[in-house]
Amino acid sequence: MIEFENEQTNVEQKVDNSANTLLDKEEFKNPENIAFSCRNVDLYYDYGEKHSLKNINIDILKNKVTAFIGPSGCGKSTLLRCFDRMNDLIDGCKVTGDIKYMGQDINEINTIYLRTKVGMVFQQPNPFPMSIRNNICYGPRCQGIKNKDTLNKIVEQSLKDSALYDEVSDRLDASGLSLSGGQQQRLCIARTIAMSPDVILMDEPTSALDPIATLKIEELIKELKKKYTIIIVTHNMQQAARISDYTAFFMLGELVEFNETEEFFAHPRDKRSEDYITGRFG
Amino acid sequence: MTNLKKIVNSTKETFVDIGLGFKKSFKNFINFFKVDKSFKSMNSKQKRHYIARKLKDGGINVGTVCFGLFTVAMLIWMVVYIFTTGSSTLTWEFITSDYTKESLTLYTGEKNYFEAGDLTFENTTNAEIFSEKWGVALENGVDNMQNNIVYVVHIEDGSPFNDFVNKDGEAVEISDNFYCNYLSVSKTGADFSQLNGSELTAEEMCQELEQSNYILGANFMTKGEGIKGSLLTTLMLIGFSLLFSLPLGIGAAIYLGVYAKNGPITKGIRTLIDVTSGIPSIIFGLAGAVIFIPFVNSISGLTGGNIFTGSLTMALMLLPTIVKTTEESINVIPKSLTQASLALGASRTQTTFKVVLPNAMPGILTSTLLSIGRIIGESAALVFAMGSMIGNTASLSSGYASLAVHIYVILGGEAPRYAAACAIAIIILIVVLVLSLLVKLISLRLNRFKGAQ
Ligand SMILES: Nc1ncnc2c1ncn2[C@@H]1O[C@H](COP(=O)(O)OP(=O)(O)OP(=O)(O)O)[C@@H](O)[C@H]1O
Ligand SMILES: [Mg+2]
Repeated sequence: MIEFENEQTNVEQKVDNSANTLLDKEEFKNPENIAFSCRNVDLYYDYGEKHSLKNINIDILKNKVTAFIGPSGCGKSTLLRCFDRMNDLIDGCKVTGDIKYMGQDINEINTIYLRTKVGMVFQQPNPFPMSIRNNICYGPRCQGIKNKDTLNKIVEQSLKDSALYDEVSDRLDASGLSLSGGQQQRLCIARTIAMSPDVILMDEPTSALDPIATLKIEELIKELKKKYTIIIVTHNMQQAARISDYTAFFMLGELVEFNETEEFFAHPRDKRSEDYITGRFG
Repeated sequence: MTNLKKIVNSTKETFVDIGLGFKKSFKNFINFFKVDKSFKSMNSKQKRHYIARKLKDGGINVGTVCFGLFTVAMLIWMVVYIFTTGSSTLTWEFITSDYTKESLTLYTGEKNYFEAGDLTFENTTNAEIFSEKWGVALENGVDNMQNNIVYVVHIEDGSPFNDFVNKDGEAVEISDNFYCNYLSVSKTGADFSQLNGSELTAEEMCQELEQSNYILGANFMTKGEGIKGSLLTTLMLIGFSLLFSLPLGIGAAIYLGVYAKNGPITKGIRTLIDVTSGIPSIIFGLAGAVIFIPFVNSISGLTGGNIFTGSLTMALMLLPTIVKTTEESINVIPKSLTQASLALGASRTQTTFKVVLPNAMPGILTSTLLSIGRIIGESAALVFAMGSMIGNTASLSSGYASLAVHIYVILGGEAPRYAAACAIAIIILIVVLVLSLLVKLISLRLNRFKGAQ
């Protein structure tokens, strides 16, 4: 096996924030505002053979929507999975550097607690093959909530919050798999909301859906950001422009540019961002 | 209700499949004798080539059809033979009666004989064969080995047959499941003869009785030859074998499918499982005899084979299949489901029990059904690891024969009892057929995940 310690960490203690134009901004100065902060994060797959994230420095603001964009294979999903430590499940994956959640090193937070606070919605809708009700109760039940009334309230509230209530309220005991793709994805969002998390990570949540279902989810996201911090990976730049407050652009495992969304699309600072936005590659 | 429909449908599909296969083969067969229209316009070389190819293809086609038909014919012949030979033996009584015969020797008490009185008895039943002199109604019957026997179906009030006593002089009642083995009778009171139930028909026996004036004794017997003990033993064996093998097998499958890292040890275990599933059962029987019998006996103080040694041996034999089928069904569960569960803050154990196991249920059920089929059909291993003595009932402490071993035993010896063996075979065949239909039904459910990620 290959030794890959100290490759990056000791060389560069100082934060390289050339890509991150926001670190000096007022909102980012106050630690209270910050949900996640990454400093000098490197990630290796296959026992160090594949260097997939390179020296990432980024802060995620609370109650804002942050979009990750970039060409396929640039590491967007990988970084997203760092935030709820889903990368721990992958054999041979190693993360170095500091990732803090609410000011606390995420490696020191119990994964189960972390994942109740940081929910995740996947690219493919993946409801459990059980009833709609049980899909939503799954998370709370795993946390030991057994009271029926409490659970019923959670189900109702989560379905309302995910704009699914009107469509399924009369068939809560039907299988989650009997819903349409867009409904399934909103069920997955409802399932995540049921945990009352602080952060929702979404990995291309609309890529498997048609435009109308996509629109519904986008509206939902705009609604959700009042309560939750949202990080969304998307391939659709219009989508990023429509729904996000901040946009991070990645390429080949590097964070190329991170800026307010309007500013990013109007005046990209990096040549590569500009090329990508204008569709010259990617 | 929907399940019933599904069963019906899948059965129908199976037969439609078979039918279509035949139709296709038959079409090929017919096509062989047809000549293409373009044949006339061919030159001689092409014609020769055409004919040669046609003969070759046709030969192969005919060959496959013939082999196919032959196989099917053999199978059908076997099943038909088993059903025709065994069906008349397969009665409720055969299933519920003891294997050993119970014998009841009857004495006439102080006087040493019954004497027929002058009065005649009135037939109060609608039995056709009735001895007016003795007041008994007789009937023909067959025992479980298809021999003719004679039953005493009714005894009138006041008939001397009510006064039989046993060896100790106590009054006895002849219950319905006893047939008349023999009656000792005499015409004059001096020379007595035996009326043998297996040699005489009921009518003949009745005639003999009418001519006899004295009865000196009798012997009644139960039919015996029943399979109650073996059936119960088989059920018990199934229960214990599954009890030992399912938790172990499912546990191992969960370990391999969920927790184990793909290292050399896991690979080793998988290879071992693959290899053991091919070991002939007689070797498991050997292992049972030399390992489990001493082991269990040293703990329990029993002697020889018993249910525990048998079911441990079966469990060992079933484990590879259970582990493999369960692991396969764990592997087809989409990774996205377990990820979703973990991302919702469920622990690994919670994920295993709430997501993995319920969704692996079809696989677990399939392996259970396959296992039951194997337990019912196993004989070689059990002869050594459990026992080959046919019992009248099942018992934890002694190793009686299971159904398959029962067949093995009654077919051995000097007078193989084919009818009884076929009757048991019918039971086994039907159980196995039902099991495989269920497996087919479950695999339809299992397919739900195939193709998903
Ligand atoms: N489990 C893994 N094992 C090894 N390499 C991986 C693994 N997952 C991702 N990678 C590699 O890491 C790099 C980044 O992958 P990632 O999935 O984060 O890309 P992405 O930006 O999400 O792309 P996409 O837009 O196509 O989803 C890719 O080169 C990929 O091959
Ligand atoms: Mg991705």
